[in-house]
Amino acid sequence: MRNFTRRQFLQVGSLGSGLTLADYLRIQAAETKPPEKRSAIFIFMEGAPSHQDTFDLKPDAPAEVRGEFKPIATNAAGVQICEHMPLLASGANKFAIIRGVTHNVADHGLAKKYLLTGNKSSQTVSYPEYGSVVSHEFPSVRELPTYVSIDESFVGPGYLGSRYSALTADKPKHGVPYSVRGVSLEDGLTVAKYKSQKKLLDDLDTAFRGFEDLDDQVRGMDRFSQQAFDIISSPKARSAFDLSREKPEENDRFGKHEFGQSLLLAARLIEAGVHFVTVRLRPADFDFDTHSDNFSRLRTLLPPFDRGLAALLDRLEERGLLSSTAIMAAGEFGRTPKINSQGGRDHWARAMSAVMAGGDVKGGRVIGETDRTAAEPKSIGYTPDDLAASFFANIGISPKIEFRSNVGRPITLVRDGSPIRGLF
Amino acid sequence: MKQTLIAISLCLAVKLCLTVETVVAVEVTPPASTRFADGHAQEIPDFQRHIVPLLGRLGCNSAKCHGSFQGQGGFQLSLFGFDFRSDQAAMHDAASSADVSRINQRDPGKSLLVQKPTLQTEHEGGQRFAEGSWEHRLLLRWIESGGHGASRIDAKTNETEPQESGTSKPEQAAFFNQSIKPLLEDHCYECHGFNSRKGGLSLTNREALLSGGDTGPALVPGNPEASLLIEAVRYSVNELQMPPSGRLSESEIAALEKWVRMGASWPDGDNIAPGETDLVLVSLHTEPAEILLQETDQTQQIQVIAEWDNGIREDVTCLTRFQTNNDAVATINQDGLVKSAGAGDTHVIAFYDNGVAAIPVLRPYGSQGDRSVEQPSRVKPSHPIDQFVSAKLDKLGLVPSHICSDAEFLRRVSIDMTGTLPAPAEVRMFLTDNSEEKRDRKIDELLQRPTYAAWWTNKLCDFTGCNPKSIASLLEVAREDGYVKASEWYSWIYDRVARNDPYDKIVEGIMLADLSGRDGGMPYFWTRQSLKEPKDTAMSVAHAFLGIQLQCAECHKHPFDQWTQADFSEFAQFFDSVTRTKRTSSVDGEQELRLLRSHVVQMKPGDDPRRPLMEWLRDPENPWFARALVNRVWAGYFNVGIVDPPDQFTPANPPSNPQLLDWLTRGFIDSGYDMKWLHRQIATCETYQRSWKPNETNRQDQRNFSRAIPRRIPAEVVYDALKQATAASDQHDAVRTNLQRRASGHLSMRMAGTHAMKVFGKPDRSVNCDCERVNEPTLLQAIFTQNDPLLRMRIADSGWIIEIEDAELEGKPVDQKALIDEVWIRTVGRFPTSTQRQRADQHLAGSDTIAEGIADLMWAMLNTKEFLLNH
Repeated sequence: MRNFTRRQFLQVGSLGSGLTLADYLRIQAAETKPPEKRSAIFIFMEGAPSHQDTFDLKPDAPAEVRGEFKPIATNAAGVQICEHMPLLASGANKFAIIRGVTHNVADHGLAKKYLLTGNKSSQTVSYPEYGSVVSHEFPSVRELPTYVSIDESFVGPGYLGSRYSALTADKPKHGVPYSVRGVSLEDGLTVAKYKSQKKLLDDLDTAFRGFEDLDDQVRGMDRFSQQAFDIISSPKARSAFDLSREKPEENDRFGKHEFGQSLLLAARLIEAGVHFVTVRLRPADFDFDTHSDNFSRLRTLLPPFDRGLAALLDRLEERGLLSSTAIMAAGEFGRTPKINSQGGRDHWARAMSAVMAGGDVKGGRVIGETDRTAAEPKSIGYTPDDLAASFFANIGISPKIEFRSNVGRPITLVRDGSPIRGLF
Repeated sequence: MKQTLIAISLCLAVKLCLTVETVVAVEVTPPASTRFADGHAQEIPDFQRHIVPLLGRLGCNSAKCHGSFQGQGGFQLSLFGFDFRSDQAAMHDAASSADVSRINQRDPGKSLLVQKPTLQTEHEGGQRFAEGSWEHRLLLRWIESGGHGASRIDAKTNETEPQESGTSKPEQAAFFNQSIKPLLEDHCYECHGFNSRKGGLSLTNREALLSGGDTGPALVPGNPEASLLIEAVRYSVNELQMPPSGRLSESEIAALEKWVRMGASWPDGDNIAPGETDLVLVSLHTEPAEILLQETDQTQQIQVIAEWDNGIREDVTCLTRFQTNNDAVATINQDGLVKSAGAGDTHVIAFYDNGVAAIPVLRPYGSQGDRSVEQPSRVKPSHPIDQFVSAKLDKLGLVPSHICSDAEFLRRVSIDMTGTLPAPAEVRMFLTDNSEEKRDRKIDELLQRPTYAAWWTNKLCDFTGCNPKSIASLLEVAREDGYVKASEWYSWIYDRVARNDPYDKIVEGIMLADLSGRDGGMPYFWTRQSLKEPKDTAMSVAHAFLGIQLQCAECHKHPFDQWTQADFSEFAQFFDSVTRTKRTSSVDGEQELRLLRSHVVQMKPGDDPRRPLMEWLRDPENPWFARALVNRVWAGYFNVGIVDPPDQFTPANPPSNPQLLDWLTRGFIDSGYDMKWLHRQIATCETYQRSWKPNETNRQDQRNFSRAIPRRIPAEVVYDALKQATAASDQHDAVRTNLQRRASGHLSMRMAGTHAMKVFGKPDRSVNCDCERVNEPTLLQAIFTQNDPLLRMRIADSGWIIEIEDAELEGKPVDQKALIDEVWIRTVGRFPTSTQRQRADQHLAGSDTIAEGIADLMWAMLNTKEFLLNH
């Protein structure tokens, strides 16, 4: 272990997030061996689900605040969640709930950028989304993309550069043949035919022979061309994307809703070796942005969410992959404590909840707390930056690594956050 | 004080002058490392000239250490310095542990400021200098003398004490620094200074003089007659005659009397505004002006001399930060020793105060006399551009590549100038044309095409930030009115580029546009929702029209440029009054505003501040305006700018060929900002028409234009080229010329953000950076060109291939050879080689139909590097 000085002890004691000495010692110890690199899934509950109707219920609050839903007990002692998530309740030992996450950006676009990157959006720096960072930090996988975004990514690779963009996969729909743009061979194109085309290409692509590494622009073109060919032609990638290989019971377990199907696809990709999957929960017809009819809409929204996420955690655990896969689920902010005249809840960034699982996360816990109307965190709360720092730490990437911007400015991956105490 | 006479060659810090060498003899103060080498120095170090630069050089105020916005260990300095007031205050603040202080005047050696960096106390940043080193001694001296801030700004005088009326505090401060301080240092400190306090008296700070020595206070502010100091220097009584070595001159005595009468002010700069200082660095001189190296590990020491506006010249080499712009060419250590690492050319940069000096470092690739690589023969009389380029190439021992083939030239110039592949008929005609002037004629012809205007309008929309999303709202999805306005923006510029309006006139139409749009100008530049505050507008204007990045200076001293926060806020103030709804100055009374240290503007209430700004932009002496466009256009033809990245004009990023940039800029201004003149100059020179194929000397060269750099064709060109390559024979012209349907034409706005455009790096135009357009190859691009439905569809629905199918079905004779030729001409603008033709024949022989075989060939050629690269 590293020696440290009295000053370092003092510093740790003064860290805002309240790391204890024990935490610090553990982090120090962890630093001496490279952290384990894990796969990860980010489930983005777009539209901003109301925290007080999902993971942070306030049964004792006045009627105009507490709403229609009742909390139910879970299999974790003392942890309660919404009655419309019974499957998650019976598997609550697998995930941790973080309450009292707080920020001040109540605009969808800007808050999404914040939650998807762990940095408040800026005019001068475009921050990369989580998956792009993982793409940058992890070596690429043969015959597979490193990072897949189910439904087009919102933020993109930012300052890391387009090389670290996600491969976009559409949301699978149950019973509809699934294909991935650019990856699936369509219109009767066979692998054999594609291979003969590639052979033709290799024979004709001679103008730069001997100069493949001449300049930046030329360099890497052959490698990417081969990598694309491997992904498109290999059984591995095709199989990973092929949901028809799942048994009907497994489809049922995840649910036939596109939520569940997307999470099933995410599980298949992780199992095949993809490093990072973003799943955007954004059904075409409705989303979590419940300005009106909050409760009736959540009655429709929560069951597929409950089923899908519970099935994902179960499946990864059954296959021994939960400990090597970091999972986070969150929206962009919370919703107003007071129910409005349309029976809805409006934007509220001062409090929200998030869920983390997998990797080092200790399940069956609630971390943080909000006040009696779920309006504010008690004490200082946590920020999206802290969520990002925790997520990265759980993936095995230090949130404090540094990159260079276009003007040579050093940019810390997550400038303002630190891993949340008690999660791991 | 010892002074040394050194002959130095002058080189302006900002303007790099390779050729002008003026040798002058000036008095230069030797370096602090010499002056403070032993304990005998009596000089009081200056906060701005010595303390802050030293902390910068030691790394104390870097982002990782105390320059971090959170500070470090409770001690925070301004990042890269220049916030003199807060830096000085931070040093005087109590440290986090109560028993020690950062500055301990009674016992300077116990100050944390020297205890930490010498590791006498634990310091996370480790040892920065040794005990007893000059750095240590310099800091001790400064602490002992009171630890004062930036000088000459504000004299700290007790308001109750009498002062001579009619002199301002800055004047008093200047008087102290020029007349009193050197006098005390030279004549008094040997006995009453830092090392010796004879009679218990020290004269190193005001408090010490006031408390005096064994015989009482040395001075009474405002009253020379009651001050022992004055009595002593007058030699009026026998028992008190100072200095003992001889009476001071009458003028020196008079100065001391005046000083005491004025209140004996001792400036400490404690009250100055952040970033403000009266002491201005005039220039940084470096010696030598240029470094030519011949072999690895060869070294060269750099000397840096700071010239201040008060006439002081000091060797500040030991207080300067150094960096190299390319450590594969040369490294530089912290003492300014340059060491050769490899062939090539770069700059080493010296940073001191807000001065930045760049020194070119060159090491030839081969010896100049070496003729083992044949010089390409000239095909044309020498073009001025070629002369400037070859002068640099000769210096570097680089032999330029040969002139490219006609086919390469036609494809390259068509893409760079018009964003369009040449038409098959055009290729055939050009290749068979034997006239000598055919390339020049082609250039003139292309400049007349609407596609020229479309492509360069698209580029101007990039530079000026025409983004459908930010025009109308900040929503994630652009609204219809955003698209409409973005298209209006595009069309507005297009009309003007097409009729070749002067560039400054076009910019004027944007800069001075009536925000209601009634005057025929283009107001959307100003009304973008993304410009929330004046600072956003300031950064956008600086990027769009000056090619400079100001954002660093928003929060701290720019690390690579002269800009301080004060410069930034003054420039931003300019835009204070230009908002979405109004455009008149809201200043109170008449006000003077400085435009980035280059121009001063008078503003009255009610003035449109954009008017003087526009006058400044188009002033031929503006250091950036014309230069930025010239450089961006150049980068459009060569892949790299003469200044590169093209939007980073900073003294730390000098042009690779300043004479070339100067000549082009001057010519562009003299032509009346004629953009076609500029394009024609660039495209007609031999330098542009060189092959990308390297010879033995220039394989590594990417910044001196000794060959073409292959670069991926831009996103819009990929999209349009796929369409064009597969178009039916009779649709070919329409596909090329119908701008309404081209990605580089009016579709440009709507296509931004689509899958194909994202994959190939079309810029969103949402941040102020030319780097938003990405040309690097990626996996997703390869997936796109190999198997994206859009590409597969282009081939499956190809009008041309359907023609072949139809002919086959009807049993018409099909000329296989001509079809193969056509695939190559449509995609790479040349005929296939015999090996390629054989391979194509072989493939067709194995295909079910000719049409299917041609479709495969088309797919393959669209995936070649030769197609995807402009070369």
